[in-house]
Amino acid sequence: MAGISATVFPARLRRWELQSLLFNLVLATLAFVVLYPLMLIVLNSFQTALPGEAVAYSLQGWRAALTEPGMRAAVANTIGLSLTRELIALPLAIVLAWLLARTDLPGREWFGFMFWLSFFLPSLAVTLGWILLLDSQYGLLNTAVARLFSLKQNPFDIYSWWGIVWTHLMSLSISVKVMLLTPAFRNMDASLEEAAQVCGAWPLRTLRRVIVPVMAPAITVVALMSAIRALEAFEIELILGAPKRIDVYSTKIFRLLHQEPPSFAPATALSVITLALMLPLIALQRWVTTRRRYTTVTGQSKSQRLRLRRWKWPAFSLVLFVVLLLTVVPALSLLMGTFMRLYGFFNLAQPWTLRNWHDVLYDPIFLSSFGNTFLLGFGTAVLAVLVYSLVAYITVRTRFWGRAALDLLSWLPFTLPGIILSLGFLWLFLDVPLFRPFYGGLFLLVLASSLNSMTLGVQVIKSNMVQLGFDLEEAAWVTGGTRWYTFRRVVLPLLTPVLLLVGIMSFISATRNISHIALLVTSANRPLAMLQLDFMADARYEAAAVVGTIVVLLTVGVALVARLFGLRVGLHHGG
Amino acid sequence: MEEVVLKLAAVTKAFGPLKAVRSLSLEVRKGEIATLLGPSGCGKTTTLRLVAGLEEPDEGEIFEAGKLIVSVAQGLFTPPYKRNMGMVFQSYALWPNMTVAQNVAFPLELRGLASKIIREKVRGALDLVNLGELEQRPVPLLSGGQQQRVALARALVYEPDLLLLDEPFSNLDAKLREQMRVEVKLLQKKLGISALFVTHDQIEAMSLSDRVAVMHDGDIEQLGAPLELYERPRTPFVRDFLGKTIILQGTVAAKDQERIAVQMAGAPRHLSCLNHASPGVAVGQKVCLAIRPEDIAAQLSPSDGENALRGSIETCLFVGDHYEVHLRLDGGGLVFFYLPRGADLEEGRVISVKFPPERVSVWPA
Repeated sequence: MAGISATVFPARLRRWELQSLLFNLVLATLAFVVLYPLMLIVLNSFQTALPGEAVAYSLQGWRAALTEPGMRAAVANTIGLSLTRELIALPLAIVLAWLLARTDLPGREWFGFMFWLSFFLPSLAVTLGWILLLDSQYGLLNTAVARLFSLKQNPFDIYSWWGIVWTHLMSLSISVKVMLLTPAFRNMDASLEEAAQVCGAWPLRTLRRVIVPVMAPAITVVALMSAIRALEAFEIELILGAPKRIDVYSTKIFRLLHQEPPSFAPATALSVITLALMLPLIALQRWVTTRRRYTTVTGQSKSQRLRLRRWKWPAFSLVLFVVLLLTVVPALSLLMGTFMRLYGFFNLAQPWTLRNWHDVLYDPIFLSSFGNTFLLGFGTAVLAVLVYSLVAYITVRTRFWGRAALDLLSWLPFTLPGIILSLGFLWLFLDVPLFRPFYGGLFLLVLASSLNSMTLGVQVIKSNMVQLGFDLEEAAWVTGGTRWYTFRRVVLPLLTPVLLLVGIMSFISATRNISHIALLVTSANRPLAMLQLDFMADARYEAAAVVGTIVVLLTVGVALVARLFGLRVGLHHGG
Repeated sequence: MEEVVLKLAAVTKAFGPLKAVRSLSLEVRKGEIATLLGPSGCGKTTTLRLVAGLEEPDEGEIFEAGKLIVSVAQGLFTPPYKRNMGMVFQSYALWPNMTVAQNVAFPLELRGLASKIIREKVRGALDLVNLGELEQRPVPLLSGGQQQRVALARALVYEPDLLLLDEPFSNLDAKLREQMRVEVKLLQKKLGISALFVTHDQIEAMSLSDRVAVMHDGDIEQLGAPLELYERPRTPFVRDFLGKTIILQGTVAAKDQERIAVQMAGAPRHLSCLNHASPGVAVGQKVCLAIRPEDIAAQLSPSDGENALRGSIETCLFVGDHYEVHLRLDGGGLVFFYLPRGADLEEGRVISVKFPPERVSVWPA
């Protein structure tokens, strides 16, 4: 044995060093990409010079951020709007998830699918669809309701505080919670519920007194996650808040940077304030998820679904109504908008036309944006799968000293609102001469998008790696495979479906999400989603609707194809 | 006529193509523990859940204390929360968000009792299960046995018509299980409650029940007092499911009013049998003989007396408090029986065993 170890040892040492080098490199790169932009934001909130100019420190930015009424209003709006829609969405989502997971609601599988579909509809497309229905002048629904009740004026105005709340509810606020809560409710030990019933508790009382309290930890996690993500909101407020000047902090930052000259210092100061406001939420979320929970999940849950009996069809109607509002209504409205000569003007002599499709599809700007979206999506998917699986592997499977730090770094982007990430990257790429040539290129967007989906992607891969079991790998090592060879031949093939899934999820969010790239886009690297936003800013709603429809087809189409191949693209892995 | 607290009449329940319960009828009398005993998948838990109202039958009727609560023909179904039953779940199903006292108080609150009365009753129920001092303890901090007692207290506190127990001891370790068995039996005697108990453990069923229903394939095979089932099983399933049974082959040689004489291969004389599970056998017919190992008497010096068979010892296993002796009969059959510690037997030794006629039963082959 001594002879063998003598010949093997130097080779193993070299390999070990190489491996350790790789791990350290991953950690350093991730730390740089995540932490350095954050540091730049904090640093630059104290300096007033533009990127590239001579550095000049002052408190001017902070003064502006703390005293200007517009700034305070933005922070107040951010909190007010998020809180309002979360308070409406959470109870509704609890009831919906309960109906889907624990009762004999007719069509519950199909409803689950519809909530899933709604998750893939881009917010901007949904917003555009609802504008056609709820615009204060021409909104279809608005005029219909006014006529029905013979009101003097239209009752709704989507360009308002409540319009923003409504559009958020119809976009992601409800559907994400339902998607996260349904599996949690489904896994609850059924006997807890049955025991309450046998004791004499009526179904709604059982829900209120037993199910909700028992599920409190899961509900809290979902509520906190949604609250953190609610601060992500950007494009809905940007469009709907503009006429009445309702700004949230993210749109405020966007507008500060898009004015002439751009005011960086107040924008960065505002970012720091937002991050500080988020800290308690983040700490609470971290604390709740790591705390020991009740064991409410048992293996043997031969659960009988609660019979709704005479409440069956009322409940069905309620869920159907919600689901239609979340999916079919805005999608049809958006599609209708693409064929309108003038968005929303139904009383023209000839309101319908195919011109918009023709104009957009033959527009070279559209074609280059389409190419950009594809490159951005695929680039993000490839980079994401490579980096996420590496990070997941190191944190789950190795004894690397920095794996806890790596884990934290991979979780941090979840808490970073897109616009702040965007701002940090903007500084990074303008300020560091080495990176400046990349500004305006797609790589920058790919990097930002990869960070944007990182937390969820790493979570999904990690949980699957944990389930994989260490012994499969150890068996391969024992038969003589090196770590890298084993990773390639055993771990990767077993994880292929998961990696595909993560790739597709990254593709979809890169195609759909806007806020994390909003400050990084130039006319050279502009993807479709951003083009849609620009069209809307120019009041070219018809063209925006066409682009929005194409983005919807892309995201929903990819998700549907993946689902056809048996990949459950969604949130439930990460929750 | 004793009062009946629960009656199932021709109840059927299917899950898709699988018939879990087939036209099952059963009565539980006031003050008795009736037990559904059977292997897993025999439909016993489904039956219990039908009684609780957690499942809805496809056919049949259920009466609670003489009142019709389920009738498929009439389209009547009383949901669980409108029945007056108490249930102890296999997993105990204690609500982890409540303390011990809150768990027990819950059903009383639902019944709209005054808080002073609730406090008294909760205290009373917890004292009954010897948990008086743990009232304020959060449920997840209790041991398995304590959780079991809380579940019992919660099921008893509102004085239900019938207590339903779904394998309540299966999550406890062996020692605790024995202790809880005795406690539950004493408690039931003291309170005079009626209970329907589901288990796959025959020792549990035998020791706790007034009557046992052995279930097989969705229906009751035999219903009776534990001893009756053990000594006079009416079907091969019940015979083989309860305790250990030795089966030997033979041919009916003669038959009269009370006695069947069976000729076994290699045996010098006919074996006479008095325990008739199936009196319908005819002379010349091939039959099975069944006997329990504890009924076999060993005769260390070989003899050819009545109902004695010779054989040689194959192996002798020491199983802790006695020996289990495996004997190859001269005719080729294999039997085993028990001998006390201290019996000095070597392998290969030839001895005789005696089958008491009243313990041997005859079954069609």
